Amino acid sequence: MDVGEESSNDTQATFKSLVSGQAWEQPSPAANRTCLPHQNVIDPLCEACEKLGFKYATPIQRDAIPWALQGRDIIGLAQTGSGKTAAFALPVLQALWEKPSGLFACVLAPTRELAFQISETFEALGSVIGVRCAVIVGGMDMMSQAIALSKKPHVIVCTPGRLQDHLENTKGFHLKTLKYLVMDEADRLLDMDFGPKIDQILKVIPRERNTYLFSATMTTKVAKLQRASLRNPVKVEVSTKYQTVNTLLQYFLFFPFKHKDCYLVYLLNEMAGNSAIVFVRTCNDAQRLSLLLRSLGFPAIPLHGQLSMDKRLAALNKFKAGSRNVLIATDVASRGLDIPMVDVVLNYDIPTHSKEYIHRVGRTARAGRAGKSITLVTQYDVELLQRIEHILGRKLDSYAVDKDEVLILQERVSEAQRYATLVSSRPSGIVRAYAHCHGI
Amino acid sequence: MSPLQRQLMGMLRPYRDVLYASRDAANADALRDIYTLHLLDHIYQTRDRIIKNNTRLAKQQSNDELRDQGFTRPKVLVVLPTRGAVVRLVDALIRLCGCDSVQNRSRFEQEYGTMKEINTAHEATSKPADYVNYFAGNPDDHFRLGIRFTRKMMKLCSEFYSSDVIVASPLGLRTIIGARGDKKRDFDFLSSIEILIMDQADSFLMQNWDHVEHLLKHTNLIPQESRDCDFSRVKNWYLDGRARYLRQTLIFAEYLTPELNSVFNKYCSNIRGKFKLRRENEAGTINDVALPIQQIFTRIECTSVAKAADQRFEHFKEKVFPALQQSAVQQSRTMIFIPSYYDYVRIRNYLDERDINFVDICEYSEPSDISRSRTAFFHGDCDFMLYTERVHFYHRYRIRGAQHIFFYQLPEHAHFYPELLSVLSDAADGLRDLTISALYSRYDQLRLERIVGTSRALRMIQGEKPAYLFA
Repeated sequence: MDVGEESSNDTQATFKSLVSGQAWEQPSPAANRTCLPHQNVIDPLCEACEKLGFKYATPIQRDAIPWALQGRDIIGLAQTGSGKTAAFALPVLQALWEKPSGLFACVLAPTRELAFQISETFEALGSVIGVRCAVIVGGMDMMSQAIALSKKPHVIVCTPGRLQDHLENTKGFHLKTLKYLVMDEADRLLDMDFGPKIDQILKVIPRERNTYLFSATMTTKVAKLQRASLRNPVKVEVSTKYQTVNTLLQYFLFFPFKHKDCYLVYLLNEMAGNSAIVFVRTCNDAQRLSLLLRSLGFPAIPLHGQLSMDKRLAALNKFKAGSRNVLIATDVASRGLDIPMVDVVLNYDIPTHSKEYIHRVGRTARAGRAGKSITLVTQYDVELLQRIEHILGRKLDSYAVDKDEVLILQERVSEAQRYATLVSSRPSGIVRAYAHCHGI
Repeated sequence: MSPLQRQLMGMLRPYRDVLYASRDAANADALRDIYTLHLLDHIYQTRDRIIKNNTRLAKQQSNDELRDQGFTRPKVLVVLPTRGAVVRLVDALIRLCGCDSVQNRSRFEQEYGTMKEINTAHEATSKPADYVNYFAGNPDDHFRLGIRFTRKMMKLCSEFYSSDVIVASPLGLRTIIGARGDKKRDFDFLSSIEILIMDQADSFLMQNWDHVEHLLKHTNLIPQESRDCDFSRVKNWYLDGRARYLRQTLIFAEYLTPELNSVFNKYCSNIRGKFKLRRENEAGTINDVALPIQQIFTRIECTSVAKAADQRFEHFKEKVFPALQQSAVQQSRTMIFIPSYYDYVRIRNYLDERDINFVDICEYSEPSDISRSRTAFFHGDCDFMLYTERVHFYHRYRIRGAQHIFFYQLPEHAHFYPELLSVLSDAADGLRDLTISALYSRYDQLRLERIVGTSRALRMIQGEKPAYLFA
């Protein structure tokens, strides 16, 4: 099914300018299948889009790009996987094409992986006009980043902490020439965690600039938005708040806490051959579960904040390439990452923020594809589940399993549990001996 | 300016690489003056440009990029073999820089010595002139010195990262550069070298050539820390990691060796081009041999450079050594001269295995062992003495008592050849029984031509006969 048509349900979306309060006319239904050239996007960029296989503008692109090209600030809200990155990349690139200069745009992202992904999009779309991008994230060498920055790339994609570090410590680097500031996953960036860093960055960026905020879930607190100091922004909303895509089947599975690992193994076993992301709450869990699953023969790989940057990128690449098809991740992977072939999202731990749920399940069923999500719920998590259901505005279906069939696995799973705890707590020699004895 | 200086300046000013392989005692000062002048000129010019740009930036006159710096301040690296050589260089710098005052001069003189020491070194010594010249002053080879130039002042012993010139020995740099895996290592100060000068480069072969290659490998790399550098003003080729293609490398040596050639080919990648200057050597030092002695040069056929050492050793075991042993029966003593320490170890082990009665002197021998060995050899208590080129370079012993000298390989220093032979004139019982023999292969062409002369060397390498006799 085509995305353009599919989204006609969403056009009840409201568009209004936050400051001026003007209502914006709804686009006519005929405009649903808009080609990019009709939106005054210049030819080289259209060509680039065609090469990448984007034929029609997605709703968010259709609605946001005209405003952006008029030079307005934008707050963009659209479901996960609906082409938000291109929605802000195209106007930025077009402005760059018209008036090229170094350090033209800065894109902020909450996680390092997302930053890399955004820069890939910029490079893919901007290759025709010769755009130069730099990724400035933590965990990488400061020196080579300083060198990359001093070559004045057109677009820098950064995580707030490292950008601030460079602003403070790299002599000769400044953002005085900046014309565009984009915050992807803006609600996360404007959160408490990043708050002070964002404030400091905003202090050294020129006031004469365009600011875009994009996310699938948006903060309502006006104070937070003010911090981003938008000027006369347009709010472009192509989904009601907290909406998930229709092509996504969402289930929950209720069972006692003590069988949690067992149920996870059962589910992964049922879906063997599909690629799945398992979301957990802590780095420790991610590590432990991937050991456990690997000892049971699942091609699992962990991704969490305690790994080095190289390992994080390697994990993601292995998962993308399909050499490992179970990714055990913490919330570092919950937002923004576009991995086309994810079939299932499993919430091993139920997300504590219901917003985070939207982002997690948004890793699957992207760009019109189908997908499935299953949330594991134990006796302790019922309230959280209800909160999520409340936000989604509907009940989730229960995932049907045969309980006896699950519990057959219990013995092998507890063996693997013992192995996983041993590996993470003991020096490797003992582990090898243990693994040898037990034929793991 | 002498014609030599004028000619060299024509190559230095356009920032071309130069390998000048005919440095000698007569032109050493002229060469030093000319490269000192060139490096000062470079430092003052870059400094003037930076100062001019600073004022432009302060006035905010221009919006275009002013890229006029490297990552770090040091832009000239001078590699010298001894502290004595540093004193000579600093003397030239002070003479030519036009600075009003010199800071830290007394500390420098304390650590490195004074020109007075150097000028009086030739008094009261029996060593040859070239030896005195090289070791005059403080002969220590472990040092590094930063020199900083400000508008009217020259500061010696300045901190590395605020220096313009770094003067160091290969060993001094090696200890600070460190090796992979070392905890504390630092070579960021080499990142922005624009002129690299190696004076007396041949003597680095007598020190440790590995250090020279090591320092060249670590020059013009992108630094590991930012070292407070202003990235908006770093030149683009530094950012791209291409600084080594714009570095000028000047090498001054007394003679050419395969090692120098390899460095010149491998590490001098200046895009502005390069010159190699060498001397035609028609006469050769063999003409300086005063004694009427038979000298036999035997060619060994080597198939490749890699196998040359093995094939030479095979030849020694099978052909040469049995003959030497026969003459030992007739109570005649042989000195075996070996330039390379590796070959020396190999032969020493070979003789050890065979229970041969021999003594050996190498660069690692204790002084007491050396004098014991020399006495034993002189009195005929042993038949063979092994002697290396490096120990001769550093001590110039007169090894007396030999009736044969066998050159396992010809010395790099051509003047060692007549020097070693001249000792034979002390032999009491006339010159009749004395013989000299030497091995050479086609890979020894450079050494050979310094001793026998260029055209003769060519004939000896290309000719059909495997042995050549000089008398």
